[in-house]
Amino acid sequence: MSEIFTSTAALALKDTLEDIDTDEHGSEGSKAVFTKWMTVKNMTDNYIEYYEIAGGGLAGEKPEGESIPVGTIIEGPLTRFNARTYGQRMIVSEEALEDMKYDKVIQAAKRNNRSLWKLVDFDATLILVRATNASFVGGDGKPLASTSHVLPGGGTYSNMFPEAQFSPSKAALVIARAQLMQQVGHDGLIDGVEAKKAVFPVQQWGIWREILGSSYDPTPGAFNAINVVNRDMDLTPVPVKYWNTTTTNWGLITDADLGIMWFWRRKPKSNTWVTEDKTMMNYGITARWSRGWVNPRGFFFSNA
Amino acid sequence: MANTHRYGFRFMKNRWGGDVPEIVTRKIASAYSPNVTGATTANLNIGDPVYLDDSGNANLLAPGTTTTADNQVTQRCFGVIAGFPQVLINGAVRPNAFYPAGTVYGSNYNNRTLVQIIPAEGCVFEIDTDAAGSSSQDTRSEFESLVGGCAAVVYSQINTTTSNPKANPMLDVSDITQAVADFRQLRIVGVGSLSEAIDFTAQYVPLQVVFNLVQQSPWRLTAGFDGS
Repeated sequence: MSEIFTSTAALALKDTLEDIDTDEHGSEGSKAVFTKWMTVKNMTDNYIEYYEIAGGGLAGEKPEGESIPVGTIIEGPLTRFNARTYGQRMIVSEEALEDMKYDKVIQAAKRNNRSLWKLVDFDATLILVRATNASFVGGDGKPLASTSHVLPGGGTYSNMFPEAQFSPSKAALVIARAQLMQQVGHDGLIDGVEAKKAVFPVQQWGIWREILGSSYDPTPGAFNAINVVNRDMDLTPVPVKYWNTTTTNWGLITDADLGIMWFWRRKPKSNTWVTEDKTMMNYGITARWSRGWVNPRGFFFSNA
Repeated sequence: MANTHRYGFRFMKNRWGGDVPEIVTRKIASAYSPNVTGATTANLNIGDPVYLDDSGNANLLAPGTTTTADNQVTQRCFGVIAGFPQVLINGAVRPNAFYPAGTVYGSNYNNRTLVQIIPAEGCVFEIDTDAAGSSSQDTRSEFESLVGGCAAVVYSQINTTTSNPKANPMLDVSDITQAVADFRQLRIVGVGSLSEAIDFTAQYVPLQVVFNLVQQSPWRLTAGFDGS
């Protein structure tokens, strides 16, 4: 498990095999799922910060001759994203490189590539896995999905169903959309956001296909009604195969700015070097990134 | 998310630098069959821990026992297997990915079984826990607080119905102790490299360890390897 010698895959030392049964390792980055539900950006510093500022709320009445009511701004929390480095290396003997008869056996650089890109998707999915976990909070001290997100001027707002959580259905999306239509802004005034994507574990692929694809109401007994989700909501389904800690939770990505984001400090970079005294080849890959959210309004969660 | 099990002790780093671990090549006795608790019908595989006997042969490390005395000679680790450059297969030697238990080479020096070993001293290895931890061992901070604690090696055989049954060494999570009077084979020095991707509530939590009971000088002052 440590280094790759001729003995590590000894049966590949002679041309006797029809094929090698192994994972595919081509173009892992292009198969990544996280890009379909996160906003992917770059960062150029060791850390970056987002600062929430709220306005003064509603304007007031000005009685004749009196001064215009005074408004102000209020600061909210600072959210900081720190770039962290991830990587893997494989160590292969010169003898193994010379003697292995099949390209698909070692392919250290490709295996490193797969390992790192898989970690990227796992790391991204942790945001969904921990959506209500109070140990993993955003700038306002609340987890991604909360009924008590903090407003800078006081008060709270929610980005999940208030009490009962719903399985995916037309009715659930009608309720969710209504709640999102009344989502408040930073100043606490009703602003409204629109759902754009539905993220869910792959076990829900069928029900989402029905909800989003039917022109008429997919609910049994209501087939003459139109399917308002299909006709009025422009939702893109995003099944997240790495989200395997639940089969019942789901979420909506909205058009609010600065929702769930992924920041590349440096995309995966490969490197090779030789440890001369042992004639061992090292294959390394590293990348730097950060991920999280600034504005919880970019997400809506059903903890069903 | 459930943790993916990765087999055996994985070399992480040498405490004194160096990007590739040192390797020593030793032999395995003719007809040797691992016969320790939890791995009685296993082959030897890459990632298994071994001790050397007084004849210089590598043997599968005995699993740890709860003891308050450092007197268990077969529980003292020499190193971790990295490869088998020479094994007698079908009448002639060649490299092999594992050591088939009971391989007989008799007294023919040229046919003896060779094994590459990463000596344990100075190296940090990663190893998975054998089960989900207790209620006080299911968060990152709780596992981090175990650093400095000691634990035993335990085997839980896998692939028992194939031609290569594996001993499958792991860290006995139920046996972790911080008591100064206790002796255990492994000392926990950190949480595994997967970091945020670890599910601390499940089994197979990767931990970074060093071997606490080691055969080599200067860790052992007395002569002999196996106490016989």
